[in-house]
Amino acid sequence: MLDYLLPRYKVLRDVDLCVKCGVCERSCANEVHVVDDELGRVTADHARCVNCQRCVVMCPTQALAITNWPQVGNGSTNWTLSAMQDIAKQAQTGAVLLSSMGNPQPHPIYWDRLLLNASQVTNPSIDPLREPMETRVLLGSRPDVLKVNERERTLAAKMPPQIKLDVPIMFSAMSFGSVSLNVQKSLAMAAEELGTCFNCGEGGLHRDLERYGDHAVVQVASGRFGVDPHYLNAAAMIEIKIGQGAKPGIGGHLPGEKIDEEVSRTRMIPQGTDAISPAPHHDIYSIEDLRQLVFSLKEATRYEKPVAVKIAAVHNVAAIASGSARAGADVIVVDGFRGGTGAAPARIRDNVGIPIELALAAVDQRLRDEGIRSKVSLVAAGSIRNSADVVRAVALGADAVYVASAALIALGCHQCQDCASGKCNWGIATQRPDLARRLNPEIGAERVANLVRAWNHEIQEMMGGMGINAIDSLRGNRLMLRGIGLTETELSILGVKHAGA
Amino acid sequence: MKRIYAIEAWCIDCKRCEVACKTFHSASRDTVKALTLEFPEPRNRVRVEGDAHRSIAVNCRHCADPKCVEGCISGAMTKDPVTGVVTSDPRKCVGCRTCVALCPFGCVRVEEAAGKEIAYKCDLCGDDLGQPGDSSCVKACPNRALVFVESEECS
Amino acid sequence: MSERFANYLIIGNSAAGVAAAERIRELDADGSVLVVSREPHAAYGRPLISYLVEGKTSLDRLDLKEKGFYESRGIETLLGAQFEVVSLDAEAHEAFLSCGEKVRYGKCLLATGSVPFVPPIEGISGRDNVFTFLSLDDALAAQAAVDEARVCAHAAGRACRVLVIGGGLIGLKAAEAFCHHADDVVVLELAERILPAVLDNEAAALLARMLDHHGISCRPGVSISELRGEGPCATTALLTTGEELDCDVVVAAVGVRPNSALAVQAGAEQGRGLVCGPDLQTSLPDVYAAGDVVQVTDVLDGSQRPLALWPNAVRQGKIAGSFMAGARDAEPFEGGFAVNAVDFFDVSLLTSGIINPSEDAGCEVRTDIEGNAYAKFVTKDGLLVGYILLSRPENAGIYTALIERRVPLVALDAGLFDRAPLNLDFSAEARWERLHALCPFGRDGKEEA
Repeated sequence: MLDYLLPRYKVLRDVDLCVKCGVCERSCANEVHVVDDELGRVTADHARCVNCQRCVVMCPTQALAITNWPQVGNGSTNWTLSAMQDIAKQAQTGAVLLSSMGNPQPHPIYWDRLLLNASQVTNPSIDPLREPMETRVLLGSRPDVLKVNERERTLAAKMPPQIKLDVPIMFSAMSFGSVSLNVQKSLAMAAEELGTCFNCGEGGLHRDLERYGDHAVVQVASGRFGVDPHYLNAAAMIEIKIGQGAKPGIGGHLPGEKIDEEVSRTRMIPQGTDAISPAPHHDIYSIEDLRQLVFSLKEATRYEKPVAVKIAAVHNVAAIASGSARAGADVIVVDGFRGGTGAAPARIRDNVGIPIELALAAVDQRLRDEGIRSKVSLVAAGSIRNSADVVRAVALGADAVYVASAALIALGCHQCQDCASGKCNWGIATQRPDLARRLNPEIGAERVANLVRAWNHEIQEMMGGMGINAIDSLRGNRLMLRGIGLTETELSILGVKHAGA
Repeated sequence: MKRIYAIEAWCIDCKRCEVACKTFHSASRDTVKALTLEFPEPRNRVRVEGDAHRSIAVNCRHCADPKCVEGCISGAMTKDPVTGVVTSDPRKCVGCRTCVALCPFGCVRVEEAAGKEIAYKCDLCGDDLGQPGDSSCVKACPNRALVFVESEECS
Repeated sequence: MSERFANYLIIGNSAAGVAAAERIRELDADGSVLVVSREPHAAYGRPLISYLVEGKTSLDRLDLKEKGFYESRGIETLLGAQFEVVSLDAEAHEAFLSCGEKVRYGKCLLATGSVPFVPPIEGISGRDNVFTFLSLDDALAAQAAVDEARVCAHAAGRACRVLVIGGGLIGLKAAEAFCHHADDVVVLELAERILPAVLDNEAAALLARMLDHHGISCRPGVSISELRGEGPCATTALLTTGEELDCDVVVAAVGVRPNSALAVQAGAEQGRGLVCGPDLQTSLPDVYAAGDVVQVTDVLDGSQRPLALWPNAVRQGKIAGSFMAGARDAEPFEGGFAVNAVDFFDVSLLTSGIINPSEDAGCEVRTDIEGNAYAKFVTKDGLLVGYILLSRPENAGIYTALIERRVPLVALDAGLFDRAPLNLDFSAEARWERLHALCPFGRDGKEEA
């Protein structure tokens, strides 16, 4: 059957600069480039290109660029070329459209509609280079009353378990299987270096990462892969994954060919079998059921580790968060609809869920209204792109944020959305040894640590500008935000005034 | 002395090291000119053995007690007593390949250049014989599969 | 009679002598080092003489060491025929030079190399146009003679022919060199093939064919029974086949012998060369030897003979120098094996070890011919013991290392002999060991203690 699909991209090769060295050919797992000795030049199979830009970066003479396939649509804003391509693809395959990474649709990005405050004259700004600037965060439940033995200067009651982060940024869950072990190693090493946590995702904790246990968040998801008491006790915090921002209501499916020996051992499933994470936890049909799991995990870890519940930002996220807090969660993670994924049905990714900004504001407000905000810590996830987004998230009520896409971009990811193919040229979303090798965790850890350190400097600068010297004082401080170009409804949900007001 | 070591686990067979080596050892030191205009085409001293599944970039070990120097019949191959860098003087080399027969790592090659066959090998990108420079291959490696580190000299 | 003293007296100023002098100076900054040689030149790359004649190098590029080598190291030299050591009194630690001077020494090294063996052919001695080809002066004299003969021959309207007696390495290099000066070069080799010691029949035939393209005709199995000619020059050779062959210049290159007469006269024990201990000391007290004069144990077959090869001479020079200077941790000399590298025109020939094993030696042989390239590998008990590589030089040193280090082939990639050997042919552990000598970190990336 003739394939009606058009190539998405076109490889532009500057023949004046190309030296036919073949670096592009050897760099491309999609086999786009071929050094053709007969023709005496390098050719490209454009249709195979996924625009990962590995060749562009690797080319020693910068002879390459990738552009859109020059085919124009018919001018319709309804039947766009991409809408028609989707149909052509499904007409060809009869399959659900799969894609990866975060929601790429042009939905509003509220971060960009929120402006930050700075001090002038009164409440003067602080220079973070000269004065202490605290970015340390403790995650976990806080007691209603702090009883202190004043004579002995000790706490009279036992504090609930907490984890300490030197920066308000953690690395969100990416499982071994969806990403390479070298990604996890990079993040674990960076987390240790930065004094924060990485999250091993739902695929178990590889034995090589156990030494980073003090900086690990381990997940218990619907597939329960790799979960046993050793796993739970190896970590700093346990996270129950209810949902994921990129695909709320959907489970996961790691195909058998990605379950190699190491993934199999780590996930505790037979090699070559499909790893299926059901859409729901089959033992959780109510808040009460969730509470049972929360306390099972606390029992298993002798109440020494905080337990987090991660939910996707959906319509009734505030009520779910409240219920989770009441179910005993110490930390609630809310994951917005721009959060990434290794594979999701494109229609789900693009259409289900709500933005993290609105969800975060709603959850923080709901928990405050119910007087249980201090019972839990709140972590925002789902496309935090820069330090200003972190500051906005904290001002909207988050204790800390999770980043994943940004960390992957630091590792080389160019957001080509082809993770599901398993042919990631950057060695990130792949288990192919020849590709995974391309990510040296030593370099990866350095790059990620650099990124977070840079962000933290910027956070300190922005806080200093506001006259705030501890991130605790920024949390939920919505006066530090003003909306721009937002409707009354949006402003009210976000709990911020319009700029100028 | 500082030596280049290959870390096989991180070699990805891209051969950027080879391109950079050719560029440095060209007349123009410009990749495009070096690989398209110059004749004979500049030769790379570092060589990536293997394929995408297993590869390693091999170049001269600058041995403490180099066999190539010991066997050189012309005095062209020398190890600088101060820097430890082993280089071959193209002026003196006659291309007999004794060094090729003796190097345990396959790191010396003899090819035609400027009308006669001469030995060429890694010179650590020095501008002068026996003087180390800034290793082009190490700088070009995208994955730190080549490192340039201080190592003990025990001659 | 004048007299001088040196802590270290080195007789011979070539590969072994210079290497020893250099090493001694490294280890002993103060002891006096005296190098004496009958050759009037600074040490030069002896094998370069054919390249010099060929025009591939020039007199100003012949020096083995950099300018000022002797001075900068405080090495005294006495170079020239008048300084040839004519006798040695080992008991008294005295050497006598031909000029009559006496040198008292602390330790003495015999690095006197080889002397050409001139075959006992009727009519060969006393000829002005018969040359050997071992020293720079030999080469320059022979070249001058060939050039002159060519002019005469061309003036007489005939071709100029050089006759080389001996198709070994020296003979063939001489043939290559002189084919640039003469019209016709004929190589006569008594054995059934050229390069009998380093090639097999097949490779020799291949090489002979390639040499023929360059105007060198090789005649294996043929020798000269008589050189004829009125006057001082030989003009005709009577071959063992009964043929007569005109010649303008004759180069006698049938072989070399250890130049050990001095030591033998002084009472040193001689086998097929000077018999030395692992410290390269001869049977005479404080008299060491290095290079072509030494009888070496071939580590591959246990045979005892001189190993008249440049790398061996340098190595022995270094070892002898170390022991002479009293280095306690000096590595003893345990023997060696042959490694030859030679090129003829655009053909490279590398050989090593046992090349023509006898039927009962228990060796396995595999050969590989592709176009003009020929490879032969000899293995025994799972080890590589020899190779011939004709026009297939790439990475040959890896094969040499396999021989030297007795690396069991079973641990290596099976494709090892089908193509150029690779470092990847070794196991990952062995590869790391090989390539990471002196590396400050281990295979796991951790700093080594």
